[in-house]
Amino acid sequence: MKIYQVLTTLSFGDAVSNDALAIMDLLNKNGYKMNTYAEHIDTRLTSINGVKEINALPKLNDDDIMIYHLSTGTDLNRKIKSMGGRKLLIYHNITPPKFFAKYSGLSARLCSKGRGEVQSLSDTFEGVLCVSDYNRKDLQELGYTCPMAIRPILIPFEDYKKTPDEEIINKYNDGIKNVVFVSRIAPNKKQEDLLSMMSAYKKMYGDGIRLFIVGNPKGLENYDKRLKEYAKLLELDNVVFTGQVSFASILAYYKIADAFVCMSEHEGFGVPLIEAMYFGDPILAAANAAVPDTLGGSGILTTNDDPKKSAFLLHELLYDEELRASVIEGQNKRLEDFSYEKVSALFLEELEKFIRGEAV
Amino acid sequence: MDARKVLNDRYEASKSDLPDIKIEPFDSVPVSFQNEGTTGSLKHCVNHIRKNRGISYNCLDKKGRIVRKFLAFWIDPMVGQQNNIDDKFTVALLELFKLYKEREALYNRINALEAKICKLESEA
Repeated sequence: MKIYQVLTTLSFGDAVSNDALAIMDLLNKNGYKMNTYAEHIDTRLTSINGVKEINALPKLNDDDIMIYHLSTGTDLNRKIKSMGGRKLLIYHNITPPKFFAKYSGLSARLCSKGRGEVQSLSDTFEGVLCVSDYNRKDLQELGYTCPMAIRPILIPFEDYKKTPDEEIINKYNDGIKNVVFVSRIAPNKKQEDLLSMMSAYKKMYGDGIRLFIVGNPKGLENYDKRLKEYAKLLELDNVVFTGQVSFASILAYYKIADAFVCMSEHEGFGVPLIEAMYFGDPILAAANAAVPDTLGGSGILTTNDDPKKSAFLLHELLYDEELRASVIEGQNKRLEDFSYEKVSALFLEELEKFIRGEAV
Repeated sequence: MDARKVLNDRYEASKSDLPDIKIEPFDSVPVSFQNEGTTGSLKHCVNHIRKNRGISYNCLDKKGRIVRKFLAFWIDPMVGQQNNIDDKFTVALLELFKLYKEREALYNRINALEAKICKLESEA
């Protein structure tokens, strides 16, 4: 029996790729010799031992296991159906296409295709590991009846101990409160609601805060442009769109954050929420999709449709020290559920069950 | 401390004292269909097809099946936005799609006529 991990794209720094690389590392450390195969591989990752082009994937024997990560529409979703071996799905969810229709036909089509493919694969997998309960429910709605378990994304927290960009830390250590959101620029992330919240804040409390929208707009430049025009319309001088930044810069933005605010309408898990917890940033987040699951009762919840309320909650979170401490304490407790040791043990346990032919 | 409850109670108690403010909606900013995102992605897709399926753009399936599949897949969602597409590359692809559809209709007519002639010949 051999284990093969397969995904469509292995890119640098995204949650799905990081999860796949962390799983490969974990399994190799635990004596399972396995490789990861992808259709598209970021050139920065090709030198990693065990990362291979999909064309190099050998024919699987009946007792081999394929761990398949599904997060988008791709022809590979159809191809794996006819590949051999026993298949274990790791489902990261697919963003509903409606979010992209205005900005990118390509993204909309990919997501639409992906959701159709997820449905057509409902009888392909012997078991599924969902990264959140929200994802499990999503699969049930799409007709999945195979055994499913919740297994959060495996996050190697050691990486966050790397040196942050000192220049950013020094530049923005000026007494102004820093509010941060980290994620790619995408319509489902609702960065416009961060801007309307900032506008409400400015009108209610003045200019004492600054918002950093940290993320890469690649492929959604039309949305990014619209966001920047909206910031101008709202006369917000205190918003920084960083664009794509280095990992050291991302660490720095988490470090300088006085609060982390997330207005996403669709998240399959929400790794940045965990990162914010790790850096001790109190979280204000809209209660959508998997966000409440991931927060697990910690952080503060809001809604997208009431910028005034969000601004009020943010102000309290920034200036009430006792409340901040309580929120951070709750987040620290929640963070323990996502520790590398805990999630890796859970993953190994589920994999062993799968190997033995027991329900995950 | 149940921070969520504390904050929520505080908000409910203060709600009526908050200033009445208006915020311009995001919808007041028009959506711009520039070439940056979508067209760049289309170009990427063509290159991807060339590279990964071993076909040259000038050496397609005679019936244009690959091009049709490609166009139906990648461009259909943008058909509603055609008026906003001014990129020559995309316009050319759409034109090609249209021509392939016309050629397919022509082939169908030729095939039907050939079948009819064969039948008439056999009956003669």
